[in-house]
Formats: sequence, C-alpha cells, structure tokens
Amino acid sequence: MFRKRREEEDGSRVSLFFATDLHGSEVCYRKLLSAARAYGASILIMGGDCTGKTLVPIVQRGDSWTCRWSGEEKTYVDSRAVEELEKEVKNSGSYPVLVGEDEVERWEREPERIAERFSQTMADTVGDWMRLGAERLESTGVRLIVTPGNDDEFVVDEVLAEAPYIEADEGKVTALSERHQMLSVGWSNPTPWDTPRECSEEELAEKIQRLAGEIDDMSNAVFNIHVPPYDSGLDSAPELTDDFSVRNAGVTSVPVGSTAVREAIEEYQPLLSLHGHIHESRGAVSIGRTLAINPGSIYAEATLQGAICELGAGEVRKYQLTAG
Amino acid sequence: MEANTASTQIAASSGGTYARKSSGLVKDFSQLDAWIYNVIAMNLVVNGALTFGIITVTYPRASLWLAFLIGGFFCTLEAVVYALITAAMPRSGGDYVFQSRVFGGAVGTLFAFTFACVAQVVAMGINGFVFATVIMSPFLALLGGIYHANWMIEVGTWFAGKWGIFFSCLFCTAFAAAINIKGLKWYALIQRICFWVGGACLLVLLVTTLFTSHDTFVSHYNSFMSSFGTENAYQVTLSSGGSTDTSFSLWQTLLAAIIASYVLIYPAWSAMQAGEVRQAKSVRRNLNAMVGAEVFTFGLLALIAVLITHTVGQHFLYASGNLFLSGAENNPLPVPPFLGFLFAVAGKAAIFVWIGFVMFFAWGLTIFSNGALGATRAALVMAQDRILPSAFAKVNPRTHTPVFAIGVYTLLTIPASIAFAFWSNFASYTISYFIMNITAIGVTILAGAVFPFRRPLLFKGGAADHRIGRVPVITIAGAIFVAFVIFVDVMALTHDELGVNGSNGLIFLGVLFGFSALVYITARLYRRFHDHIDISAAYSELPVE
Repeated sequence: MFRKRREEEDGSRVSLFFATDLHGSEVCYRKLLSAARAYGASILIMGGDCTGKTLVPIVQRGDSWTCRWSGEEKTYVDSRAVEELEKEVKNSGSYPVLVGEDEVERWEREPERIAERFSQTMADTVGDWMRLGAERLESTGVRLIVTPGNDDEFVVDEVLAEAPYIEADEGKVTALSERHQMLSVGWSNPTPWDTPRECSEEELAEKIQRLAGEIDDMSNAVFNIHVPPYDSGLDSAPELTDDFSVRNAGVTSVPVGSTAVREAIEEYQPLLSLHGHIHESRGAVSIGRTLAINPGSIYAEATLQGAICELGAGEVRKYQLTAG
Repeated sequence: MEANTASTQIAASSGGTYARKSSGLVKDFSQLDAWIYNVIAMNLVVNGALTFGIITVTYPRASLWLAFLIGGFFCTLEAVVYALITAAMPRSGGDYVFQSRVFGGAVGTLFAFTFACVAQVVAMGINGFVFATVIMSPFLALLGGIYHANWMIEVGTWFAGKWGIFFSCLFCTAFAAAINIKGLKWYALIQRICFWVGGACLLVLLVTTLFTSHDTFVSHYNSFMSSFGTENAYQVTLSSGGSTDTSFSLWQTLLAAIIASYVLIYPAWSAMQAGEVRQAKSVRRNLNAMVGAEVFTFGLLALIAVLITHTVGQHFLYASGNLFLSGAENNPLPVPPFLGFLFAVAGKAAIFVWIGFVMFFAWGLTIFSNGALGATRAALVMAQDRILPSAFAKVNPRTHTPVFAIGVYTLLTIPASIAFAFWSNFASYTISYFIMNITAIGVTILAGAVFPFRRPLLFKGGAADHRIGRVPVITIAGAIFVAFVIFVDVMALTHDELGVNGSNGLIFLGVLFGFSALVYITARLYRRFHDHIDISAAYSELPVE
C-alpha cells in the first residue's frame, strides 16, 4: 500500500477509470462520479458521446401532463409523478422537456425549433453535469477529464471549455502523471449516420499524428481516441443492409473501426489505448505491446460500463472491465 | 450558454419523441430470423422425434398432446421472462449475463457457465449420437431395404456402431467449428435454408399423415415391412411388445410434461447470440421471437401427438418402443420406432422415406453449431469479466471470429465423442443432462423473477417494467416457472425413470457443477493474488453520486 502511494507520488504509477458513450444518461454520469471512490482511481476519464439522442416532450394540458414514454402514452396529474418521469427519462439517456401544447404545435410547423431546443438542452445538461462533477470532486483531488465524441456537437466543446475544475482535453496532450501522457481525439471515421464529428481516415491520421508528436515518451503514453482500431475485435457492429436494417437478426457483425487508428497504434505502440464508439464491442485486446480497451456502453440500462487501469513505469500493471 | 444549433439535425420523430441524427440508429432485425433461431434450438423434428417414443414407453397412460400443452404452458411463461429480461439487459452471453448481473459471478459461473459452456461439450457428443442413430443409421437401413441395396444397409449398420457414432461426433464437431470459424454469415444462411427445406418436408409428411387413416397406416406398414421379411408386422409388434394400460392418467401426463419440457425449454436461444442488437430492447419483438417460437413448437408438437396417436395408435407406440429398448433381436422393425419412420411409412412410397431423411438431416444439421456458438459467446463475456483467460475473448483478425474459444471447445468435444462412442455406459451418465439444463434455466428465470427487487434502478420504468396490479409480470411468470422447475427436480430425484435418481446421473451433475465451481474459485484466487484484481468489480453495482 505504501509502495503504491509512493509510486503515485513520484509519478511512476497512476490509477484511472475510463467510461465512455454515456449518451445523456444522468444515472451513469452520477455513477461515474462515484467510481473514483469505489474503484480507488485518482483520475476519471469520460470518453466521447456524452450527449443524448432523444428529446422526450412532456406536454402540459391544463392541470395534467401527457408523455409518450416506453411505447405508451401516459397522463399524469401529480407533479411529483412528473418529476419521477423526468428522472426516469434522464436516467435512460433521453432529455425530458416540459412544454405547452402551443410549443408542440409550433414544433410541427417549424421543425428547426426542435433542433434549437435539442441543442440547447444538450448544452444545458452537459453544463449541469460539469458543475456537479466539480462540486463533488474538487475537494477529493480526483481529476475528471472529459472529451467529446463523434455524436457530440461542437456546442459541447464550448460548454466544457467554460466548466470549472473539469479538464476538457479534446485535441490536446494531457499529463496524467509526471511519467504518463495522454492524447485525446474525439473524431471518428465516416459513419452511415453523418454525425457531427466525422472526417476521412487521412484527416484522422493527421490529427493523431500531430498530437503524437507532442508525446515525450511513447512507452508511457495513453491514446484516448473515440473510434476503435479497425478489425481489432473492439469494433464489431451488427451488419446492416443499405437501408440500416440489421442483417441476420444481428448474428453477423462486421468491423467498423478506423484504419488510421489501427495504423497509429501499430506505429507508435503506446502503453494503453482507450476507445468507445461501438457500444456492443466491449473488450480488451493487445495490439503489439499496446493494450487497447473498449469498455462498451449500456447506458440505457442505467449501468455504467468502464475500465479500471493501473499504469506503472512502461507497463499496464492491471486492468479490469467493470459494469456497475 | 446560447446553444449553437447549426449542426443539430432531427433524424426521426417517433411516437411523440424526437431523435437527432446520431450513431447507431438502425432499423429492425428480421423477427423471422430470430424466430427461426429459437424454433431450430427447440427442434421439434429431432428432439420431438425422440420425445414421443420416450414418453409413450415411460408413461403409457399419459396423454401425449396434453403433456405437450402442459409443458408448453410453463415454457411459455419461461419465454415471457426471457423476453422481458432480454429487453432489460440485451447482452451477448445470455444466461451468464442475466445470472451474474442479478446474483453475482459465482452463481453465473456455477449454473450458466455449466449450462452454456461445459454441458455444450457433452451436447456435441449427444448430437453425434443422435446424428448416427436417429438420422443416418435408420434412414439408410430403410432405403437399403426399399432398394434392396445391401451397401446402404451395411453403411446404416456401421453408423449405429462405435466407429459410426465416433465419426458422427467428429462430423458434427467439425461442421460446427467450420461454420463458427468461417463466420456467422454462413451459419445464418445455412440455418435459414435448412429451416425452410426441413419445414417443407415436415409439411408434406404432416399432410400425408393427416389424410392417412389408422387402417390405411396398418396396411401400409405391413406392406412396407414385408419387404424386410416380416409379415403382419403391426400385429406382431403389438403382441411381442406387450400390452399395457393406456387409459388416461393425469399424474402420468404431468410426469410426461417433464419429458415434453426437455424439448421446449430453449425458446430464447437467440438471447445468447442476438442480444447486442438494439431492437432486442423491444419487449414486443422479443415476445414475438421467443413466445412465438414456443407457442409454434408446442402447438405443433401437440398436433403431431394427436395425429400420430390417432393414425399409429398409442399401444403400437408403446409396444414398438418397448421392443426397441429391449434389444434389436426382439424387434421386427429394422429401425427405432421414431417419428420420421412412422411419418415415412404413412406415405407408402420410397419418396416419403427420402422426404423424412431430408427433413431430419436439414433440421439436425442446424443444431450442431448452435451449442458451439452459444458456448463461445458466453465464454467471451466471462473472459471480459476476467473469470476465463483473456484468450477466450480474442477475435481472429482474419476470420473475425473467436478462433481460440472455438478451438478449445472443439478439442474438448473429442474426449466427449470418444466416451459416447466407445464407453457403452457413458450415455447413462448423460441422462441427467436435461435436468441440469432445466435447473440452470430455472436459475436464470429466478434471476428474472427477483430482478425488479435486486436491480430496481434498471427495472423501474425500463423495458421490463410491466405489471399486473402492482406486481411485475416478470415476477409472476418467473415464480410459476421456477415452481415448475422445482417440481421437475424433485420428480427427477425421486423417480428412476426420469434419470437422475441413480448414481450415474448424480455423478454426471456433480462433475459438471464441480468443474464450474473450480473454474470460479481458481479465477477468483488467481486474479486476487496474481493480478491484484477483485473480479466482483465486473458486476457490482456502483452507488449513484
């Protein structure tokens, strides 16, 4: 124990917890904040895709509220029940919004207003999360590093940049300890969904290469790159047809990771490489001397998947995938 | 902060909610595919064929069709629980995930690992045994008799012998390994083709039997058997096979429902392999795929039971089964009195024997790779939890499949195959295999029943949160099925004919469960003292800050 503390103090050992693709799940974020204590980590890293995908209107009609949730339309007359519903929606990774009938009608006429509200809600929620994180972690000394992913719009970067205490490290090299450095890239190779933060493989290679040049010691480096390396077993997604239907009941999968990321890992051989993006492709694999991890994500189940990693001098001393 | 709305694009609006453009918004998988996987896993042709004979000989006073309806009722509740818990936790690894996330890794390893991985090694031996003795040997003997082709009869006889069974085990193992290594595209394609081809054959034979009266069947049967040198074979079978009381007994029917349930307890095999698909979160889709497969299977089995009892006669089923079990020298039939043979005879033409052969071959072929697939998926999740070595989670970069896990599985099946082929008593040890399966599934269903209380955060308001009054549906359905499993286990432990009430069956259960317990204890100690890891972190719920 004393050895561990001494090594942490002299920078030769660092314990981190990495989770990714929370997609707006409030309960997963709150679990992330408790993970440092539960797993004994000194650094929390929240990988990309922190924002949700769905807006759930709770429409006020007189003294009652109606909402379509979990496939059913429900009416609520008790404001406490509405609060419960809001909590449920937030925990599942969607955004509940209390609106009047007139606003919903206006959304029907002017769909751009939905986009506006969506974006505002995402920004507000990330802002709230960051304030909560600062409040809970500042006194403990635990660091929280946050990087966006391909599904996060650029407004998220603005919110993170203004957040207190939190380290927003997209496109940067960060010191994890005196010995260990981490580069972060939230961009992905092209996806069928045309998401906000996509680029070609060549551009992705350039982004990684630029940051890799800033790393002092690659044998103690960590890559935090949202998209996993191609054909690594961390990037298997259900095979789709041209119209986005899942082939063969999901039995068949195809690699969808980035070749640029794979080549960068093979070339630079960092100590550890952390990924997300493909929720269903949880795992840990070795690519040369690099341990590459995708903890996966099951945010909609109120469960935080992550990876505890303890880094020593030129080695990953231990790692464990978690589902808490 | 003022939001920048320039890039927000609303991709879909569904049912009063709004989704923006983001990764992973995919459409449905084919429910038909998932349904096919589950129907094939239960396999009313191959497994059903054996069950008819076993029930009739074991419980001659049982109503066959009612036994399937009773077993089907309980297994439908099981399917409901699987549909709900899969929607709540759509994970690859199925039973292991459900059990470990509700009860912890020790329970998950002891029951789900035993069921999904360890027992599947033995299952490959059973597959080979069935392939040899229920498919290849009897059909080749029948066709040889029809065409007066001695070589076919000799090959059929060879299949029923030690080397034939061993070859069949190796064939099944090699086929499963090849399909799983080659990639699941091939698996899905072959399964679909086999399902439709076998299904078409089944339809032809069912319709033929439907329009065959009892007297016509007797006439066809006697005529057919005369080519094998036995005259009045129907009457000879009845008189040689012994008489028994076939009047209805509810108690025997309830016990027969236990045997019927051996076929019917796999309505959710797709949860093991298609759990990662987003649409697995839909309860409705899961109900269609799992409950739909269950109802189809037990409904059709009950219908076949009515047909076969009416056309063939329950006394004949009993007598011919009895003769077969008492030794080939007493049996006027050249083959076991299994469903395929009886169906084929109803048609009185060689073409019907061929149709039966194709039906059994097609539906038999599809279940060989099922066990290997499920076993490697469960092993992958257990490797991620650090219970099994990480090599089990490795995916080969060339084939994109877990070659190491498949390789280990394949190697382990070889001793099991040797045991089945050359150790004449080995099959008697494996009779409790089905009891082990239903018990392990019972633990999964128990996990489902207590899931709302053990994981309230995940249950409340989630996909599985459906209630009757204030009681969760998953708890009601789960409790009833678990009560049925307890009944099955108690009956199996107290009734010799159900297989476990003997030292061989108990030894078999002890060895399998003991091995799994050893795996868990070893992993826990090794990770703790060698890797300094507490593997319970893999599934212990985090507090909410």
